[in-house]
Parts: sequence; C-alpha cells; structure tokens
Amino acid sequence: MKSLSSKSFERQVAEQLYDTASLTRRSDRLARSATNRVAGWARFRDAGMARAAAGAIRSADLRRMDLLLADFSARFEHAGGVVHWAPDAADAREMLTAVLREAGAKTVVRGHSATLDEIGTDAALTAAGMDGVHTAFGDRIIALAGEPASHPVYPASHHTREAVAALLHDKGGEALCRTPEEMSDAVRARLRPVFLGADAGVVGANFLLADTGHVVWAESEGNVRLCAVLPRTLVIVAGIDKVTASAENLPVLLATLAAAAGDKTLTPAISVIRPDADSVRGRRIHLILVDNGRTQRLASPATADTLRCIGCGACSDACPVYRLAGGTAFGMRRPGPYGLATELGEHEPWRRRQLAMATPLCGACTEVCPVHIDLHDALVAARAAPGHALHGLRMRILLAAYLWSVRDHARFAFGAAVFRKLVVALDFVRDTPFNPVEAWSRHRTLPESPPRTFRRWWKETGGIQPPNPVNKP
Amino acid sequence: MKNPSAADARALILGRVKEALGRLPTPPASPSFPRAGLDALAPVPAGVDASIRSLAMRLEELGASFVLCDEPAQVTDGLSGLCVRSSWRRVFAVRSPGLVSLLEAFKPAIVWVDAATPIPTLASMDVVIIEADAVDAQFGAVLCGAGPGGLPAVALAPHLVVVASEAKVYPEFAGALRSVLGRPGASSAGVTCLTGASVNPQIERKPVARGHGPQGLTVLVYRG
Repeated sequence: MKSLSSKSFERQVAEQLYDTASLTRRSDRLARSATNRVAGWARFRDAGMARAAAGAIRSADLRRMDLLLADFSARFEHAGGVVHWAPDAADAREMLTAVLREAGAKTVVRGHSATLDEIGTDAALTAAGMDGVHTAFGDRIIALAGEPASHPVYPASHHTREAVAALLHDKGGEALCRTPEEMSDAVRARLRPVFLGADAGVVGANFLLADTGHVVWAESEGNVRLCAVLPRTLVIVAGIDKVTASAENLPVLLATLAAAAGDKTLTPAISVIRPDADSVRGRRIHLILVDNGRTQRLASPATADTLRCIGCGACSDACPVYRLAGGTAFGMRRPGPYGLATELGEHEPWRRRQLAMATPLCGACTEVCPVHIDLHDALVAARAAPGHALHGLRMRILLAAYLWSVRDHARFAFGAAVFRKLVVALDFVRDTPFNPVEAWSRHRTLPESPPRTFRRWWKETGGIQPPNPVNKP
Repeated sequence: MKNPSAADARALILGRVKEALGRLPTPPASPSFPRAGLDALAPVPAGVDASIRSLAMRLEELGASFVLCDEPAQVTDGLSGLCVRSSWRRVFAVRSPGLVSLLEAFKPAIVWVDAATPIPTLASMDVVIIEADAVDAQFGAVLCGAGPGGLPAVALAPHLVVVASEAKVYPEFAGALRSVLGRPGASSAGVTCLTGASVNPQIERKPVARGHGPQGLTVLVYRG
C-alpha cells in the first residue's frame, strides 16, 4: 500500500482548481498537446482505420500472450540474452538487484519507464547501495522536487520553465538557466560523463517482438538508447503485456503511438535491438518479464483490454478531471484514467475510495485511445472491485431512499414533495454552520426552489408553455 | 543459465496467462490488421523521384537537412562542404564497405569507427557519418547503426550525417523496416531509427531539439 500524500484528493484538487495561474498554464499545455495530436492524426489517410488496426493487433497479441511470450523468450535467449520471469514486484526487484550486484554495478543509469516505477526500482537500487541516476529530463525534475509524476509521458509538465530552472539550480547543482535549450544542454552535459562511466543501464521497453526476439524502445530524448548501448550490463524490465506477435506490427503501432502522443511523424528515437546485434555483442543483456497483477487483469473481460496500452498518455489529457485537477493530485505513476483503472489497489483504502470517484465516466479517455481500450468500462470495474467501497453511510442512505422512491408513482410524488421541503428548508440554514451541503455550496450557488413541482405545473397547464421566454414552470 | 526456481517462475507466469485466457471470450476472426493499418497511413506516390521528394519534405518538417547528389562522386564534395560550413574538425565515420569507397577522396581526416573503437573515444567527436541501411519517405525516418560500432556512435553523435544511395530510399516505413530486420545475419539484430534530432519535450511540453542524442541530422542521398 502506498500513500504518496497525506492530503485528501479533494483537498489537492481544490488547491489546484483555485490556483488560476496553474489552471491557465495547464490549459495552455493541454491545448498545445491537443493541437499536436490533431496534426499527428491528420497525416493518416484514415485515422479511424489505423486505430482499429492498432487495437486489433494489440487485442490479438493479448489473446495469444502465452505463445508469444514463449516464442519471444526463446529467441531472445537464443541470441545470447538472459530472461528472468518475475511473478510480482518483489521478485522483479530481487532479480534486478541480483543481476546488478553480480555485475559489480555501482552507478546505474535508468530511463523513463512506468514498469521500473511500478516495481520500486529507485528504492531497490538505494537499498542495494547503488547510485541510480534518472536520465529522462522529466523524471530528473520530479526526483529533484520530490513529487509524484503529473503525466504518464510528461511527468514534470506542471512546472513552469522558471520552476524547472530553479530546481536544476537549487537542487541539481546547475548554473541558473533561462531557456529550455539552456536547461536541456546543462542536463545533457551533466549526464554525458555519467553515461560513459555507468556500470549498468536499466530501462523499460515499448514492445517485445515475438517473431524475432527484438526489444523496441520509442523515445524522444535519446537517453534510453544511451542507457541501452553504452554500459557493459543492460537490464530491461518489461511487463508481459509488451509482447507483440511480429515486427510486421511495428509500423502501425509506432505510427499510432506517435500520432496519439503528438509527435511530428514518428517518435524521434526508435531503437530495435537483440542481444546478438554487432554493436552490443559481448555485453550482458538481461530481461525481466514482470507479471505483478497483469494476469489478474487479463482474466477479467472488463480489465483485460487495459493491457493493450501503448503508453501514449492521450487518455490523461482528454480526462476532464485531470484537465482541471492536474496530475500531481492523483499521486499515481500514470495520473489520469489509466492509472485509476489499473493502480487503485496499490493505494490505502481511504485514498482508494477518493480516487475511485475521480472520474466522471464520460468516456473521453476511450474516445481518444489509439488502441480502443474501453477505459470507462475498466473504471467501472475498478470502482466495483472489493475494497473499493465508494460511498459512506450517508450516501448509501440517500441512494437507498432514492431507489425506494423511483419504484412507484406515488412514492416518487411523495419523495419529490419531501425533497422540495428540504430544499426550501435549506434556505434557512444556508449561511449557518448547520448547512448540510456546506462543502458543496462553498463554491456554488444552490438554485432557488421553483414555486411548484413539474407534476403540478403539468396538471395545471397541460404542458403549455407560458409566454415568458425564461419558461419557468 | 537457469535455476529450478527460475524455471518455476516461467511455468507459473505462463500458467497464469493460459488460465486467464481460458476465461476470456473468443475474439472474432480479424482480417489482416497490420495490412489494414498500413493502408490507413498516408501513401507516398510510387517511383524513386516521388519518394525522394517526399523524403525531402518530411525532413524539412522535422528540421533536418537534406542533400541530393546526382552521382556518388559528389558525396565527398557535399560532405567536405558541410564540414567546412559547420566547422566540424573531429569527423568520425562508421566503417562499412560502401562508405569506405565513397569517402576515399574525402580531405579531412576521418576516424573510422568499428567494434574495436573504445566508447570514450566516441565522446570526442563533432560529427558522425554513417551509411543508412534504409531511408523511409513516408515519415522521414532513417534506419542505421546495425553494423559494428554503429549504435554507440549514433547514440553519442552531436550531429549525424546519414549517407544513402537512392536504392535505399523506401516509399513506406514498413518496407524500410522489413529490409533491415528481414536481412539474415547479426547486422539485422540491431537498428536505430531517427526522425530528426533528439528532442526534449518535457519543459512546458514545448519540444526543443536538445535531447541526449544527435542535435542535428543531415541526410545525403546520392543517385547512381
């Protein structure tokens, strides 16, 4: 169980919502990403067909996952790599540190990877007495800030350039930079000798090709490529869901990934490597295949399709709660709908209850998903999972009363009359500490109760509208 | 090398996957989806000239430079001019038979990179010249680095110059990738694909061409 913040989700959201400067910045960045995505999809002759094909590819991959994993691991090992199978996160950590210890690694460079975060790589490296260095720019910034990620792909995108410069200067030991170019150059210069002197590289993977045994990385910065090809030892930590049947699938998957992530054409740096490649021959290459709950998700029709994910982050940007609340409030590896659908079980019960409600189930995430994951179904399933009880006693009583009232005309009329009286009665306590909806009405105005009910209005007028354009019954 | 517990873990996970799949409904038969997906991509008109035109456009969009030489002999002049204009002094080139013969008359001293080149040596270069395994006109992607020493050289290059004959220009990314990965031998076991310079998009989501990889890309295609 993890609790990244002692603050409630509501409290963090409220802080974000009333920070208008932050809201405006977030809105600007989301608009920029949305524009890039529109341009990305516009490059397709038929974007719908491409998404359908990508979804079908990933779906077929999942349906044959056992065969594909067996094929992939055999080919990877035949090429000289070593495959480890980790049933859970603790096993994966143990395998990772064992491999690194055997290699005598002290300095370990790592890339951005949700799977590495999932198994607790940073803590494992520290506990093993190794220096784990974040080489992805965004990860480096949130590590310096001591914050959770604010986006699955852009983890530090909630910070302004001034804040990034200050973090790099105050905590990262860099000279004070003004422009993103200067900041990037400073980090590149700082990390170049680290890459050259690193004992081992630890990275995730985007895809594992079952028919060839290749590992595929798609990235923007080029740091994963350096982690993968420079150190003597390379450890790849990948979820079992990353396997895809064939290299023939790659063009469609990479093109849809790039469009959904808002890249110009393809992701700028793509590497496809097998342990017998000329350039990496003689190096120790290990691959840890992680289950850690993925087979449980695969077993349920409501959640199996979440394993299709190709990690573009489009669902977060589309989510109205994410757009308003910002990513850090979620305290997740993948803030937004995907994290809500897959990571809830990792949080403490009190936070789980709050996070389970942090979605309007509007389906915007499903709409934008490049591989057609029915995320809203997965979100409903996550809410219904044992231990994710959503409502307190007060809400349960209210819902039970509502259910009782709507089952019969007479009950409904009675219930409506009682509710009306309650709303009218609220006027008397509106500005007092006894207002039962004080929290709700703190930032909203409760509408006035109409003079008569709809049923009564209908009975009296026969449904004929009065000439008043306001149409107030 | 496997120990019994590792074999157990493999059997455990594959068993879990099989059990999970047994609970899922059988999917409907699908058509050939990779092909359907490829048909959905923007097509490039047929013919070498059309492919080269499309490649030039894509590279321009990506902020990369494109040079077209009418014959192999012009490659040396083109590269020499680039080195002078860009003040590149430490010029490295990844050894491949094609590039060695193309650069015979190249004036600046070249450090040839191969499997024996120590990685710290690569850190001192200004530019790396490499022969492309394939170039894709659909997305403007260059595929290279499969040869000995190629991947580290590409990963560390401050600026990358990619040289390709027109025969290596493919109208579709799928064809370009297939030509590299489908080739038998160790060189097909690793390929790196670049579409423009490496980018840092993390600051306010505004991409700047200042990643850890090449900060500039020049593609030089020669005819004949």
